[in-house]
Amino acid sequence: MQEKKDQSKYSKINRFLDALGQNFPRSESDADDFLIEIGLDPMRIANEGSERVRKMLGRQTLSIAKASRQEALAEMKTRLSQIHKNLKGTVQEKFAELMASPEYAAQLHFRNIESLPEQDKEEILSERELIKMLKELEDADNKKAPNE
Amino acid sequence: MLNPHFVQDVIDKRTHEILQQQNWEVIIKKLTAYAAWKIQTNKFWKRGKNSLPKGYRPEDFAMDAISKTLEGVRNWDPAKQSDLFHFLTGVVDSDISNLCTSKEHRSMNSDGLSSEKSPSLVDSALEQAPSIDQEIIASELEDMMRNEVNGDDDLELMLCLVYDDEMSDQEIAAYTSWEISKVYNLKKKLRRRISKILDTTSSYARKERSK
Repeated sequence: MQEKKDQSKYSKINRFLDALGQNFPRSESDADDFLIEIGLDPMRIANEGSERVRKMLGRQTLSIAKASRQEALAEMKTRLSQIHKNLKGTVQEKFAELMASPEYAAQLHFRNIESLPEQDKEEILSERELIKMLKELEDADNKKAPNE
Repeated sequence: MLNPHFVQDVIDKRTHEILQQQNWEVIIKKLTAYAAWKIQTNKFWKRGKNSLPKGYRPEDFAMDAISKTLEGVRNWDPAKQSDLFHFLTGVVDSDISNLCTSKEHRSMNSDGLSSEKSPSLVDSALEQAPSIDQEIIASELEDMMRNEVNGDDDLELMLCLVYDDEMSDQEIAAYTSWEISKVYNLKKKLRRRISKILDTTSSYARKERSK
């Protein structure tokens, strides 16, 4: 059912004005003609306006680039932290396994440490030092974030 | 600017790319023309041509709508509404409508200056649509419109079909057997004539309001 329209002149004129404005302006020249008729300079409006738009778009480009960079940095940080944790865990695990293994312990027990070549000694020491360092690092991490 | 935006929102990258590809010179001119017509017609014809508060001009409404869209204050989604110009006209409509109903605007006098006085009786009457005062002004405008097209057969018929019969463009084309382009051109001609007399009517309205 069609809605009954208000037939007062005021309402009719408002509807008429709305109808005249429908799809207005259809084209650039339509807009130019109208602006000139009401005493506005289309060229000035276009030039001043597009200069402001250019600046706004420039600011928006910078904001988008900044946001993307921050997002990429955050992701990189998360990944690095994950890689560091995994690497630390793997190395420590391997050395701990090595030192605790019966074969390795037996080798150390029965091996004449004094007769080992210098290079081997250094390797054993560095292994022990490395394990010690990793353990310290792990302990420090645990102290910093006990709930993580 | 109607509302200064201190916080710049970041719009999504794809929308930003589409915005960069627009022909802004054309959009700005069309939107300014649209705002000018809206200001003339959207109830302002009762208040007078110079009654925009704080000296707002049609281009201010156009640029404010564009700023809000570019800064993401008004969220344009190209996937949902591909026609950017249509979206911007909606923002202009909303701003003009808000301004018409704002207390600030209601307390402006006909010179666009702020007034601390209570609204006049005519002001109050104008806010209750349609009042006797509005009907008087509307009758005056109707007479002026008919006089304006008097003697131009095509425009007389156009006025009759658009105003009296409230026909759409397509209905007019079908009824008159005119090409749709002729309907558009006549409508444009009619709008220009009406635009001129709206200023006169505004003067009349100002006189009425100052009584």
